[in-house]
Amino acid sequence: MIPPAVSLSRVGWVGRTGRVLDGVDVEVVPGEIVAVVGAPASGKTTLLRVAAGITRPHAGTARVGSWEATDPDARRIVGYAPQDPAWLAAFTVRELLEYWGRFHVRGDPAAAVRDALAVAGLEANAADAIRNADAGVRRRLALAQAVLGGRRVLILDELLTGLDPALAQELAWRIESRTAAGVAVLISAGALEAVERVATRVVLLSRGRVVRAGAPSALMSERVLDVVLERPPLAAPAGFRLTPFGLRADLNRVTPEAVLAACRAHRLAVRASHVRHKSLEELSAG
Amino acid sequence: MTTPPFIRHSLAEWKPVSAQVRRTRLGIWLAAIVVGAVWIAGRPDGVFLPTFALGVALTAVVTAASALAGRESARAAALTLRHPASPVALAAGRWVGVILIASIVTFLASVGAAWRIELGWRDGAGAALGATCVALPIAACALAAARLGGGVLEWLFLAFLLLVSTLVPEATAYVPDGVLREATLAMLVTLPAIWRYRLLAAGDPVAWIHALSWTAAGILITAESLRRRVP
Repeated sequence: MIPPAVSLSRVGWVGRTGRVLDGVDVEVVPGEIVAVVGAPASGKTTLLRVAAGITRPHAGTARVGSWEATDPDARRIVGYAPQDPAWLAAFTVRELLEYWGRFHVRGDPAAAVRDALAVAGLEANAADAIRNADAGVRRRLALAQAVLGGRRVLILDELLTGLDPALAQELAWRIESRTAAGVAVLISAGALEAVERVATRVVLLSRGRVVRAGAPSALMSERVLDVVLERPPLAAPAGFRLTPFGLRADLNRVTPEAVLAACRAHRLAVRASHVRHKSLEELSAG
Repeated sequence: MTTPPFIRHSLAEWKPVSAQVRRTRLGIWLAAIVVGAVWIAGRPDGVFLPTFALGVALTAVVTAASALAGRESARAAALTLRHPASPVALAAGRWVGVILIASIVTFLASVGAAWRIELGWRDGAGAALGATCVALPIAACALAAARLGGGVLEWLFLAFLLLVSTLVPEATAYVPDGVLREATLAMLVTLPAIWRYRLLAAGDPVAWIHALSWTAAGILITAESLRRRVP
């Protein structure tokens, strides 16, 4: 069995407003991409900060390789891209990476910087001033600074969220290419769609707890049927949930045809219906 | 032979320092200090070069520290701490950066002033060297003040240095007896003060111990402030 590169066990964290993480278990083995997905304020960023050793857990343990995540030695192998990185606007892209490179590489960091630029696809933007960089370049730069110095673990907070599909796809491919070299990746996202193509495993977080975990394809295959009725009933029949415009049925064990037949059996006039993927809330609710 | 990590990480700080001097308003402000100081030195009554150099050095220190320890660069430094660097190395590197900037500005202004008052460049350089000695602890404390209280605390610190700390402790005899006198005396004796640091250039050991203690304290306070801001 391959030892995990990141191991979070029974992690708990309490913030000013209450419990943020509650007994979270996550493991990432080398070569794996684990996505932590959840609604805003579900605890994703806190979980990633614990894994990156920025925040010490209030309960449980967080380990990176053979070190505690907060051990300064762990910084040599962990690359962290925060959701809202702060960069000196006076730098160019290359200067910024050279600056960070000095902390990782003895002597001239030029080779490490060149590798990081190549991994993030930033070669053409190396001379761009950061103050003028667009969102795409900034996101690539976040990836470049995280991989700089050949890190073995990448912790990427919302790196693929809010990008245009082409760039998201390209960055996903670039992240994936790191795993071929045995790099372990822990990435967060606010929606399953952002990580479905890149993640090997998804951990669904809700109110600081892991509510579901599995392959993204399995979670994405879970569907519901929304039925719009002429006159919604006062109470939902068995197997349905009431919605403002009609009923909703889980399609885990039944077909859409069977659901519509059940509507007819209950003498409910169907105006329209459509099948869709489950939302995060629905997946969290099981 | 490889450079020890602490030195390497401290030296790395020169990169953001030079980028800010070249590409932000900091460079313009520093140039304005040199030009303004040389212009002032050309007044008919001239200037007393050591005091003049000290004023330029302290203004340059506070201006540079304000820019280099400002919110944006502090956040950037905090992100740097995610890489294997110690906050003390970063703070020490910034302190060196502030000193370098202040010494260059002071040298240019002092040599320019010496030329305007028809003294030799060596007189200007000597005054600049003495002022740079005084700037060593002041730069560390200015960085700490900028981190703890922002620009306001830093400029208050400069005002204290220029207006109050030039007085020797014996001068408090003229302050009315009571809490004010005791507080002024305590500040003059314990805080970084010009009256004491004027003795640095003469090699006074007490002044050097005081200055080095405040240099270390300023760097450590700045380092702790950076460490707390790790994203």
